[in-house]
Amino acid sequence: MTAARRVLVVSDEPGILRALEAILVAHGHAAETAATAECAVEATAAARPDAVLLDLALGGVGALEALRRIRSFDAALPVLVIGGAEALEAEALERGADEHVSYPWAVSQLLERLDSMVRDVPTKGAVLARGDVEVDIVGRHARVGGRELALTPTQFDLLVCFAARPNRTLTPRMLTAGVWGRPDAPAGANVRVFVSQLRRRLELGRAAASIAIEPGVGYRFVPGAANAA
Amino acid sequence: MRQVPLEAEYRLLLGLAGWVFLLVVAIVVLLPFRSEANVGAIALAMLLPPLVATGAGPYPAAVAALVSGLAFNVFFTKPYNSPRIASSASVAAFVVYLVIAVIAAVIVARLRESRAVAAREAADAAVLEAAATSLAGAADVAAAVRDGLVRVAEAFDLRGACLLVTADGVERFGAFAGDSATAERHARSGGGPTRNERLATFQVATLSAPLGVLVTDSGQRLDPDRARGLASFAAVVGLAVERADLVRERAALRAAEQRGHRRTRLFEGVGHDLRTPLTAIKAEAATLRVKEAGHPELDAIEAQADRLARMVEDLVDLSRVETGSVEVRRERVPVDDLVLEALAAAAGDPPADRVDVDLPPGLPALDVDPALMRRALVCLLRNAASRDPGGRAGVSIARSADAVEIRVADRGAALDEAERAHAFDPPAGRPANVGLAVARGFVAANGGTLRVVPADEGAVFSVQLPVSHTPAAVRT
Repeated sequence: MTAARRVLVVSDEPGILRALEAILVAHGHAAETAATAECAVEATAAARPDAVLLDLALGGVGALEALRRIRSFDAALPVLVIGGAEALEAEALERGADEHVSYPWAVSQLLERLDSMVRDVPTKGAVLARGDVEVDIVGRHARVGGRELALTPTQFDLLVCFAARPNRTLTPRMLTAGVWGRPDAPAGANVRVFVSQLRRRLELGRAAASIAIEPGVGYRFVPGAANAA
Repeated sequence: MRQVPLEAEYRLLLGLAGWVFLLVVAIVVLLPFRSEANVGAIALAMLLPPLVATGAGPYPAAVAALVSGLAFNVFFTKPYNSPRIASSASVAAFVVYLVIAVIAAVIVARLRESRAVAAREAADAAVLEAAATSLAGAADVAAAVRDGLVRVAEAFDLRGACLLVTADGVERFGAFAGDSATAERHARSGGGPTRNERLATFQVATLSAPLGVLVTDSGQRLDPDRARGLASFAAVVGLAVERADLVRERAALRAAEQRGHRRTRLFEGVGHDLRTPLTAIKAEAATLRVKEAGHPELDAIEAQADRLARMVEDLVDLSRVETGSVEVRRERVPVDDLVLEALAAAAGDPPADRVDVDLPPGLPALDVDPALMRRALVCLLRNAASRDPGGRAGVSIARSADAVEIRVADRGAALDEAERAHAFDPPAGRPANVGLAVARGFVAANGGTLRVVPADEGAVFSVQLPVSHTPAAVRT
């Protein structure tokens, strides 16, 4: 059982709001609700919850605007967005949401992501250890279970992006920005192709870590053996 | 409107009068000079009157030449003032004169006549051209046909004409000109050969099917040139009617397309609206399960809610395919990504561990819409799992120089030829076919083909996608 957290649930759909509240309470969390973007921003500022669940189908000024306003005064607050259109989910992630669940989400997945999001603290340091994968950022080496993993420079940069934010959904644009420092890949390069190459390198290196696909949204680096798809 | 014959009689009279007048003047003027020595010059001068007669036509001109010859003989060859001919030289002069006069008269008359025919043909052509032009641009084709027929009938000097356009045995419209009673009676009986020589029938037809008949009543036997002209008028009417039909059909098609787009938007809206309560139902079931363990019904509620959501999604997508409102946003995507995305997007139906995937290394990237291809592959996976006795599916990939083939196979009952032929037909009670129809539509939208390939066991669905030969991703 995970630690109890205070979660703000934002949706203008009473059915969703009620169900999410019930699920969170049933799993030992404390839930507050907000039915509009304005209420959500106010409640965030006043109550300082541990995490926010934001329904992307929110009407009025909309979920993305609510996200922007929340981010304007709290850059670190974990925000999980709940399934809208795929493009909207990717945009929310690029604009600062930490995680998403796509429709049709399962309750277990929602809770899992909420938990890993709140727990996650990006590692600072020269070596990122993620399951059996170690990434030495300064020395530019990657090892799997102590064995050297041969990677091209771009594949290595990509692995650094993934290892820096394990268990997080990263959109192709976010990865492109991480590897090349700008949102558009250089001509002829395609981040999807590099992700595919890196995935195969990890498989060939018999890594327990893998790169899972979030359909239509992006990729997620999963350390350990449990999530190999 | 009987102008043309009047003109002909007038020309006959004028020609003959001119000839008589000139003949008398020539005789009177030349009489003082008649002598054996002058007979050649006089013969030349005497050629003039018959040439004037050519205006009356070739036969009057020939008669005029003969009569002029006789006059020449009586007045200018010895013995004078008698039809007899005395010397052999005079006989020669007379015969030469006669031959030259007749030939010249006939040639000139023919030339005049052919010029008149050419002028008439040009006039006919102008009338036909005007009719064709107005028919080609007409919004109301029936009115344009009526107007054109009246003008052609007038120009072609028809007594009457009747044009009937029918469709499937039912009269669509008729056009009439002049005294059309006889022509109409014949047209209504279907046209065709008749003992009445005044009547002529022309078929009005499109390139592929008969449309009706044009019957003309010409008052006499129809001139062959004019018959050709009327046949081409009938052909132009056929094309104009067909063109008007096509324009109307296209407008109807466009309207249907717009209705289709509206329907798709409606479906998409409904699909979105259904998603919210379905999500709520699932969430409520999950909550209940946490609170009170041990109710398998709750799993059933969730599963059925998911199933309903998938059916809605399938129907929205089928509507997009059927109304042609599939938008393709191409991206460069590695083939293995497409397959893995599909497995993830199947969301447990079928579960990823029940799909045997064979992804060889070195697969290319394709320029496709990943969302559409993902949906197509999910539909194929679900179809395969629903047919397979163990709920399994197999995915294999093969590549050739310019294409990638993704095969989705199951080990269900083998499909016979008829089943393969109808695998993608719009469903009548078989929900799996909705998915297959969607898959085929989405694959086609991406420039690929989806077909069922014969197999000894189970069904094998093959997706062929072209590999673009734009520069591949730089390996760095």
